[in-house]
Order: sequence, then structure tokens, then C-alpha cells
Amino acid sequence: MSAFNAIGEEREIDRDEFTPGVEPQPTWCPGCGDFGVLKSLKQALPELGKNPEEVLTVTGIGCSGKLNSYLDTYGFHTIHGRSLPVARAAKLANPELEVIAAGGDGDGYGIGGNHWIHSARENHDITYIVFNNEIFGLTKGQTSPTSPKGHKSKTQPSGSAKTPLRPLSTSLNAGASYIARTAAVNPNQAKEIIKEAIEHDGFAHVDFLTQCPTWNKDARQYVPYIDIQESDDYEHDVNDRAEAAEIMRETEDVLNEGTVLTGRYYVDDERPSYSQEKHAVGEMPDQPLAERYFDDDAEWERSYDLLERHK
Amino acid sequence: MAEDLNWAIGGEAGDGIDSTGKIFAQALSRAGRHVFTSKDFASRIRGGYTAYKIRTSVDRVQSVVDRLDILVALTQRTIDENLDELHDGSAIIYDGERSWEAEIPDEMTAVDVPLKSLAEDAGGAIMRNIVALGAACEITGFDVEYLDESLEKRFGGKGSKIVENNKEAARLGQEYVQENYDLDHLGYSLETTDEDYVLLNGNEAIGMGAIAAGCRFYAGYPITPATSIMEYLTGRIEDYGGHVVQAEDELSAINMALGGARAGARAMTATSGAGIDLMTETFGLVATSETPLVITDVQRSGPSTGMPTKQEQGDLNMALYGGHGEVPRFVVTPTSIDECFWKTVEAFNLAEKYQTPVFLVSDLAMSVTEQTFRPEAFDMDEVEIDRGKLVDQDEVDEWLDEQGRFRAHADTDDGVSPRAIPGTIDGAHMSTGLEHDELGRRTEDQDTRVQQVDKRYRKVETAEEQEEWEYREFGNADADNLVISWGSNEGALIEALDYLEEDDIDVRVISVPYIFPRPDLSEEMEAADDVIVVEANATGQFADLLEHDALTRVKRINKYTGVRFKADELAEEIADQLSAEVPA
Repeated sequence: MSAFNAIGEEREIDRDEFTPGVEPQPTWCPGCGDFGVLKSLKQALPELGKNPEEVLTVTGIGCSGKLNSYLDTYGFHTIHGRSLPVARAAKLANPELEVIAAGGDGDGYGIGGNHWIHSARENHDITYIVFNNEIFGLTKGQTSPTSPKGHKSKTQPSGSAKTPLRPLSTSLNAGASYIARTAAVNPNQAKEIIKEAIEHDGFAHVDFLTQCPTWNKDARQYVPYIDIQESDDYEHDVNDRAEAAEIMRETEDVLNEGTVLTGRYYVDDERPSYSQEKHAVGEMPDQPLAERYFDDDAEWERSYDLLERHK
Repeated sequence: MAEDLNWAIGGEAGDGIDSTGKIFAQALSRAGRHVFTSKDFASRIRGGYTAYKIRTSVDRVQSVVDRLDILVALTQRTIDENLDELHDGSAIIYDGERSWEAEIPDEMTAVDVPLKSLAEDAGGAIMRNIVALGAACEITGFDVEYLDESLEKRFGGKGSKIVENNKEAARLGQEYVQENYDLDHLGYSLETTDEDYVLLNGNEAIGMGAIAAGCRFYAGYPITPATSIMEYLTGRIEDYGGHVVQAEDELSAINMALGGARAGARAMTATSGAGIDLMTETFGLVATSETPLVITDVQRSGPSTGMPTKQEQGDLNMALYGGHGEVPRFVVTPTSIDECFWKTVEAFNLAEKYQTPVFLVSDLAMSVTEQTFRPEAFDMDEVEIDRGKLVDQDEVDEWLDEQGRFRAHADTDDGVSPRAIPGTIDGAHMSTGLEHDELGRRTEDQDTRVQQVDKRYRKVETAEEQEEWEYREFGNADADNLVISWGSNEGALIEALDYLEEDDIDVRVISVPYIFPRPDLSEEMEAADDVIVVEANATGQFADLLEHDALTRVKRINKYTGVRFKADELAEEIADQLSAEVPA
């Protein structure tokens, strides 16, 4: 039984509970892919029986960072690139919370790239949704880490000289234990993938293709898309690292040629999370760190013993 | 003035200098003697020159001085580096069988002890430093048995054989000197007492203070000289239900500490030098999201990589002004090792009562110095924990607006809003680094902006009124000469008073542990004929503040060699400044 009353509360959850009373309508542009992420979360969370108040949504900076303004949970809107350290620490401090981190491709793969790699490496038990629109949207259309080579923008007028970052392959190499790609134009698949990612015990990375109709007009709307689990043309074992690596690479190669592959790429249910690893070696207490002294009457443990060691 | 003995062991990094020094310091402490240690070291793992120095007395000692009485020299460089501090009565212990030819000035006493051979007799050459400790015991008239408990503590984990060998090594060193030298003329005789001291350094005091204050989440990234706080907490905080994370960089470290705090755990990070630069990015978010967080800066020489193993108090302006925009914060600067403990406890309470970042600014000198205290100096029963307006499930409803939404940034009389932890029913809210309204929703509305900025600064005003921002005072309160300092210079200043008294110079010392908010010293400065501000930096950052506060000019003593102030040196500088002109 948690010291926090929203955690583990048994009741029917309505999806409307996730729509905030203030600002129910997002200010994203019409046709923006970000709506797709919001919708899939609003469907997935109640279906998983999550109470809005046992969920913490941590966002970075960009259009994607407004996610938690439109999703009524505990929300923390951080600074550019830093959503992951905040999110994984909150999860460590109270593992009973459902912690979701979200941000854009610039936020997560660019300025916050180091945190992404290390969160995956350490396999923190959080869900990370990257709104990947292959552009900087909020600052009006500059080249991002996933912009295609040759993509022209005000900051790269002759076309980007850089090969786009490979989100799926990088995540696999870094150590993420659940990796999927979905697209805003495929809401059913998106909802199911988000549910799986939330349920997964470990670092779940969802590269969410979110078309930007305003600043990335070159980009397709990510249609037609192919679900690699549904299509007869593709077959791989999601638990097999080598097969996953191969299809990830292909997926990344063909995206900018107009073929949009989506689906589950890699799932490792065996790998212990950071918290489980630390628990196993006695460095993570049984009781949540945040809970231990939440109660006013809790007896504070003082460092009497520590002083003895200095004699 | 304290009747003291100054002892040191020096050699190359990797020679076990530190652990040998600490064994002797512990033995002295257990024998009821006061100890104050310091280190000469460089940022390298092997080679170079490193030394561990101990000043000991039956009276309290709280500074280093420019005098070395007994030196265990494992290298010639150890002797050369310390020639200024050695004197006619100094004894130098060295191993004449080693390849280097010791060049020791004739007026000093050379004590040639076959450290390596005797160590081998006891069971292994690795114990040569322990042989030297035994030799030092004989020279100083300190019973070699006092080393036993320290050796047990240090080597107990390696089995009783190792412990016994070490005890034997110490005795062989002691007996060798006893049999081969007559050093009574040096006159060293270390008296013992029944006092029961604890021995700890500033970083250990900060770590212990954090645990006592209920810190349950620490995130950090290794950096000299802050790392030992993380090392102290690791393996200890778990016993109290806490956890330490080693993050991938300092950006992550401070954001993780922030995340832990958001989830409800008392949280801290600590760093130094370049680490605090990276963390500066997050100061504003901590402040505008009104999250309690303790950020410890153990200062070292800057800028850039600077001198990583050297002393400096150069980060005051950073702590006060770091970050874009205007960031409400508290800056607390412990002035001694025991105060490192108490100010850490206070920092956690300030952070949580006012939901504001608190900078706990210590420095390298305190972080490496081991000092003795009576255990009562750390009376855990005196530790009080105040979590401020943290609301639980029963109180949360008092803070809902008419539509039932939690007012996480409510504009209150004292500026402090309620804080609901994720997981609490009815407490859900947004919080953001964007300007926001009472509900935490982003806004650029002019009136709301002004309301929230005012509210955040009102917390500081409330704290200024409700908390005690007192200075510490030493010397003669009625003296015409006023010396003001912040941070770790306090101990050296207190001892400098003794030297000044010998020259009939009357001084009042004010030592300031709070830089923001800080005590108003205008009246004290007005009342004095001469005001001298002492700090270990080049530009006089605190002196600038005091001049601004009191609209006057002060004299300044600045040191930025990388070496801390010494009591005798400070006394001389103060005497010089008193006869100098006030700057125009």
C-alpha cells in the first residue's frame, strides 16, 4: 500500500479525466502529428487502468514539450534536452509512479542525446516518446538531427551535409530493451505500442513519426505506412538482436526514400532494469525513497551510527 | 597559543601517503589530541609530489602554520618542497638504503631508518610507511601502541595476519630509532588526554549532514574535490533508505536530483569547477518550478580546469548570480568543518520551507582537512527537519481553486505555495520553466508574470524576516580593527588573533556563513576604524558586496596562489594592512 493515495487506486478510469479543464484544445497547428501522440496516450492510459494522478509526464522543449499541458497528469515541463534525467530520477525516487518522458527529435537526439544513450544503457524503467518530425518546429523550420541529407532550411540553405541520425539503431546499440516506431497517421498501432511501452519493465523507446505540415512540407505525411508485423514482406523476431538491427537499418535507410516502416523492432523482457540491478546488489531500498518519510509521524533516522565510524 | 607539533609524510602519488597520514591522525585523535590535517597534492595518480600534513595539540587547532617539525620523506623532492617550513629543530626520517641520496641541511636532524628492510622483516616492503610511523612515534615520545587501533581499523578487513604484521612494522621502526639515535634534545613529547574525539573532513560532514537531514536521493558526477561526498554517501545512505546515482554528466546529475525532489525525496547534488558551470543551466528551472534542491559547490581553483587540486573561493559571484534571468536562491557558506554538517541540515530545511534552490558553498581546503571534534559537535538530537508546506492527501483540498484544480504556485502572503507530490489525489498540476500562473499553466500575461515574480521573491523576503542570518564573531567585539571573512578562512583567522595579540594588535573578526541573504554589517563596518576583508580569490568578490552594502571602501587581503591561508601568514598580512592606506 503506497503512502500516495492515487497509486494503486482501484476504480474505472475515464479517458476524459486526462483532458485538462484549462486549455482542453491544444495550440498545435492543424494537421500536426503531435495530436496523434496525445490521442494515443489518452486511450492507452485508461485502458491500462492508470489513474491520472499516478502518472508523471516529463517533457522537454519544443512543440512536443506542450504535451503535458494537454494531458491532465502530474506534469513537469523541463528544459531543452533534459527530460530524461528528471524522469528517470522521479521513477527511482518513487517506482510506483508511471513515468513518461517525451520530447522532439532535436530535444532527444540532439541536445539531450547523451541522456538518451545513457538512459537506454542503464535501462531505466520509463517510457520515452520522441516526437520525430525531422525538423525543428517551434523555432520555425531549422534542420534537426533526423533531417534527411540534402534537406534545405534557413540554417542549411545548400542542403544538409549530414546523414540523419539513426534513432532505432542507436537505441539498440545503447541498450534500450523496448524499441518501436509508430506514426501519428496510424492511431490504432500507436495506441497499442504506447500501451506495450508503458507496460514494459525497462527503457522503452518509441520513435513516433509526427508530421509537421507547417515547417516540413517536403516530408511526406508518413503515408502510406507499412506495419512490419502485419506486412508479409517483412519478418523478424523482435527478441533477436541481430534481426532487429538489420530491419532497423533498412527502416532508417528507406524512410527518406518514401517508404515508412513502423512497428515493434526489439523487445528484451529478460534484461533487468537499473532499479532491479541496484536492488539486487543491495543499493536500492525496498521502500520507495520518496515514500519513506512522507508521513509526518515518520520517525526520521539519524546518522548516530555514522558518527561512531569517525572515532 | 596552542603548543603544537607539525608532522608530515611526503612522497610520490601512489606511495600510500594519504592512508599513512590518516592512520597517524586517527591515532593522535584516539589518544585525545586535537588534529588538523592538510594535503599537498596534484591531479595525478602516480609520481609527482604529495604530502599529508598533521598539526596536533592538546588544545584545539584549526589552521595550518608555516612550520614543520617532523617530516617523513620518501623522496628528495619532499624535503625540497618543504625547506621553507623546516627549521633547526626539525627531524627528517628517510631511508638511507634507498637509491636517492638525501640532501638534508646540516642544522636539521637526519634520522636514517631502513624503512624498506625493516618492513620486509615484518612481512613485506609495502609496510615501509608504517615503519616510518613507528619511527615518528619514538621521536615524538608518542606510545606506539596508539597506532594499534588505527591499524586494526585500516587493515582489519584484510585479516588479522596483516594487522599483526603492521603492528610489528611500527614497533620495528620505533625500536630502530630508540636503539640508534638519541633525540631527546629535540624535546618532542606528545602528551595524551582522556578526550574522546571524532575525526572527519568537510565533505564527510556534508555527507553526514545530508543523511541526518533526511536526504534520500543524491545524483553526482565525479569531480575533484567534490567526489568524496558521493563516495561517503554511497554504501551509507542505503542503510537509511536512500540511493546514490552516478550520472553521465553534471547536466544529468542536477536534473536527476531535481527529478528525485519532484517525486518527493529530499535531494542533493554536489560538484565543483566546471561541473557547476554545466549545472547553471538548471538553476532557473529549479527556482521557477519552486522545487527544493540543495546544490553543493566544493570550490577549487578556476577558471576552466584551473588548478583542480588547489584552494580558491572564486565561485561566490557564480553562486549569487549564475543563470540567465533573475533566479531567487539562498547561498550558504559553512565556515568550519563542524559547520559543514549544520549548514547542510539548514540548507535542506531552507530549500524545502521556501521551495528554492540552496547553494551550499564549501571549498577544497575544508574538503581535504581532517579535524578533531567532540562528538557533541554533531548532536543528532539537535537536528530538526522542516518540510515546509508539503501537503498530504488530507491537506490537498485546502488548496484547490473553485474548479477543483490544485494551485501549485498559489500567490500567498508569505510567497510559499503548497507542494503536492505526484501520486496524491487532487494534487495533479503542471510545473514548468516557462512563466506560469497559479496552476502552473504557461502564460505571458503581464499581471500574472508580475504576480509570480513577486511571489517568488516574497519567499526570500519572508526568509529574511523569519530565519536567523547571523554572523559568527571572534576576538574583541570592541576593537577598532574589523576583519571580515566568509567560508573556510575562519579557523586561520581565529588563530591569527593569538599572533596579533602578542603584538598588542586588537582585532574583531566577523565570519559570515550566509552570503544571500546575508547579515547587514553596515553598522559594524561604520563603527570600525579599519575594515579588512579576507578571501581566497583575486578580485575580492565578497569585499565588493560589503562595499556595496555599506557604501564605503574596505581593505582587502586576497590570496589566489592555490594554497589556503595560514594563521601566522594572516596575522602578518593583517598587521601590514592596518598600517596601509584605504584604497581610493
